[in-house]
Amino acid sequence: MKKGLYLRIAIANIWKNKQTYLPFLIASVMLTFTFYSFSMIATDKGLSQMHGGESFAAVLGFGMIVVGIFTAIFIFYANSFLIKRRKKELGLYSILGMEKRHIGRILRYESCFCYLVSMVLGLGLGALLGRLLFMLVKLAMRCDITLSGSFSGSSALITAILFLALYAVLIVYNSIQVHTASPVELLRGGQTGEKESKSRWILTIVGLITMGAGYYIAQKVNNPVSAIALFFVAVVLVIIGTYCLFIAGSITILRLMRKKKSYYYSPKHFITISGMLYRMKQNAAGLASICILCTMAMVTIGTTVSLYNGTEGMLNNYYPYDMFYSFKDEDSRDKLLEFSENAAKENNVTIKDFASYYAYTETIYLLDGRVMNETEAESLETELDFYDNLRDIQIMTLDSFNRVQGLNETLADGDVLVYCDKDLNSLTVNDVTYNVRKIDKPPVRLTGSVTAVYGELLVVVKDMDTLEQMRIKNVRYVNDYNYCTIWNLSGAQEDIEAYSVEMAQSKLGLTMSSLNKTNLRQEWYMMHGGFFFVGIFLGIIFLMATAFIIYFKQISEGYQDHDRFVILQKVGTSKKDVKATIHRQILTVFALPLLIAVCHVAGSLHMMTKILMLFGLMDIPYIALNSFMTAFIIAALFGLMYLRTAKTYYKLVKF
Amino acid sequence: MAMLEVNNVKKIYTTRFGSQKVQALSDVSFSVEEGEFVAIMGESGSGKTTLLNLLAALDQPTGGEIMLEGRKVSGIPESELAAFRRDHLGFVFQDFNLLDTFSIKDNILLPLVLQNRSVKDMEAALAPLSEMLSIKELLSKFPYEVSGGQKQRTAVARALITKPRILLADEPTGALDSKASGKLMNLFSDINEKGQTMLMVTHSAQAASYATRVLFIKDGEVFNQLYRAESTREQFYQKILKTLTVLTDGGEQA
Repeated sequence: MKKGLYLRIAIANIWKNKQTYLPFLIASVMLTFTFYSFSMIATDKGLSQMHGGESFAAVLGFGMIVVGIFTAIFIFYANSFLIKRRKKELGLYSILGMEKRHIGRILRYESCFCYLVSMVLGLGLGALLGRLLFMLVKLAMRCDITLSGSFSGSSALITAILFLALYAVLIVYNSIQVHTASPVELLRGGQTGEKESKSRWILTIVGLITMGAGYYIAQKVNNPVSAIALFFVAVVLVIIGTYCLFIAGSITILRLMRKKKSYYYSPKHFITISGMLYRMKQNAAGLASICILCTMAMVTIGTTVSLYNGTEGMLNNYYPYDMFYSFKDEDSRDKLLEFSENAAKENNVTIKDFASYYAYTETIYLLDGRVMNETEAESLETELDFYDNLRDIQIMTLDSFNRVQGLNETLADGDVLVYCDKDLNSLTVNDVTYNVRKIDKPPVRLTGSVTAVYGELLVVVKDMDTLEQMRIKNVRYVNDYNYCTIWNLSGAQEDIEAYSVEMAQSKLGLTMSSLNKTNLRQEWYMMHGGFFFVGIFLGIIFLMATAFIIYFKQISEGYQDHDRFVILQKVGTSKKDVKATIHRQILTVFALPLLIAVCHVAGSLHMMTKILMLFGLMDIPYIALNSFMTAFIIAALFGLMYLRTAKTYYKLVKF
Repeated sequence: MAMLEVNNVKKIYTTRFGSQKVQALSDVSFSVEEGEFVAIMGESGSGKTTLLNLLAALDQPTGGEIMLEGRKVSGIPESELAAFRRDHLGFVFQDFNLLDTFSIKDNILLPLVLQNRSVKDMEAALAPLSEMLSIKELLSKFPYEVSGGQKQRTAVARALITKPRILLADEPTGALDSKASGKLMNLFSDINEKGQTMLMVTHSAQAASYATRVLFIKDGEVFNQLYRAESTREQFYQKILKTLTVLTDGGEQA
């Protein structure tokens, strides 16, 4: 009987507060749906059987972690907001004679209700839209695979458990809140006055330092590998900096503006500055969150779209030729080539641009023109520029080089031809120093060079003897796949694919190393498609959260502002001035986070391009374009929200 | 010429969907001379606040006219209204209407800032006022840090700082305890004695007894008026109470 009463009160509460609870529920449902979807796709049987399916699953797994963390933060933020708004109501219950444990019980029921709704609707959506999502995944991966697309019980269970844990923590947190607060405190709610605190200066300085450090790191990183390592450091620094500067820096600046009397006491600035000060004190954290979320959305969407759309270009960059094989001896090479020719004939594929050559490749550490092997370089690994000095050295004979490149170069004894991203005067390998002659025109790229990650170093030597002499001593893994062949293919797309599959499956019992661009393309699209899918999904989630926060800010501020603007009009502010003030204020709420987010994106570009280089994406303007296109779209969405908000505000202000 | 003239003013409110009409003021006429302190009394719902809103040009009368120093208030174009209100009228409200975003000082200076006056002018105007209203020590505080009486004195300072032709007060003691009310009304008398024309709407006989003249409104019309003349405040208070009793009895008979 009694239990039923509290349950009824709980449900009635949610209904009464639907203006705030509804968006919260929608967000919770969407997050449930997203988490479930990622898990369902990642564990799909059809996917795991696919070539490259594992990398896609790994990307989705990463996405799941991000969504999980994000959900935790978001639900807590939203909850604190809801509780803050409802403190008055809870205080009233307390004064009407309800004990704290009863209030706690009501809150528990409410949370349980939200949890159940999230699960039922979120998982229901997942079951309904599962097939549609799989179709999108297929589209993103550009391949025809059979994905089951049925409801996944295990994914639903994982989702249910994760959210149960989150809501459980929420319930404990709310109980503590209720138990530690006195009714009077609850009644007063969020009404706390302005407290002058000296820590603002400290916070401002901390903010400036962390923000500066974050930007500095992002600009100074020169190598993709260190970029990945420092990426999270920079992100955390910038996030801390953003919060500190929004919370303390903004107020410090506004205070300084207020101190300058001739500036402050003018009709244009008076109301705006004081209004902003008041608002910043309460909402700086919210604005900072909006800023961070916008940045995240822009970076995520910008990079994943770049990666996905740049796949073809990256593929060509990595693998200049359709097929690349390297062998330990000529015999194996010839056997494979024979097989290849037959396979080509069978599949109506023409082989072209064929070339074969002798080359030796190794990853080395290059310091002042001296080549070190990995054991020597190990002690330097802690140096900041370690990765900057790593090179993929490729040594070829002059004979091979001239043939493949169609050139007619000559070499004197003790001379080597070198093409390198760094200026070298001499080259020392195995303690022998060679004179360097630079190759001015970049040579045709032959192999799948990893030059995107490490710098390039092509060395052309006079003859085989010199080449053998140059083999790096004391390496752990001896690369003796020196007989290389490359060729391109022409023919119908499906013929080329059939040929590629046949080539990939037939090993002929040979020892060889091979790269097959057609198969790689599939694999890459799997992975990049995964990133693309997850990126867009996450981007939308981030934007949704942003919209949610802005919505809540407007609700909480709308009525407060209404009172203020009515007073302003009563004491003789014209409607026009009031409108202008409203415009300025709302514009700040929308524009400030967005502007700073764009700054963050611009600041992150250098680092992001370095990281994307790991994937072989070199097209920096393209990445920038995508990021700013995203920014533009977000700005347009914000613009629409701004117009709507401003309109609602005018209505509120009319009296 | 009277400072303020109200001639046959009528105000009819139409409900939202236009189905019902409510007559708030049927026919109100009176005038206020320069230097007078007039209190308007009436029960709740008698149209006091409506009348004040009309005087303040916050609302337009349905009929009749209001003249301030010979200028027709309802004829002022919308674009000049805010400036008119700011330059010629001062307001004190029941719920103070101070802005939480401003310090006490900035709340008082607000109208001057809107008039785009120099900082020097502002300080010069603020000093004597804050002295007179004894809020000098509070200037750097914020509204939520001071008492109700202090808030209302701040509102009075804000109303007076522009040196308005007439000060309009809407239930200024409504949210104050009796001690703070007495203090405020004494201040009002002092201000009036210095030559400030004032018009106050109230339902407190105590507050009204500080005025030089009291108008009684009933059912949207001026029912009666009393002059204080040479009587003491206590005597005037008794007179007001008597009139109020008649007013109520009359209501019952009608």
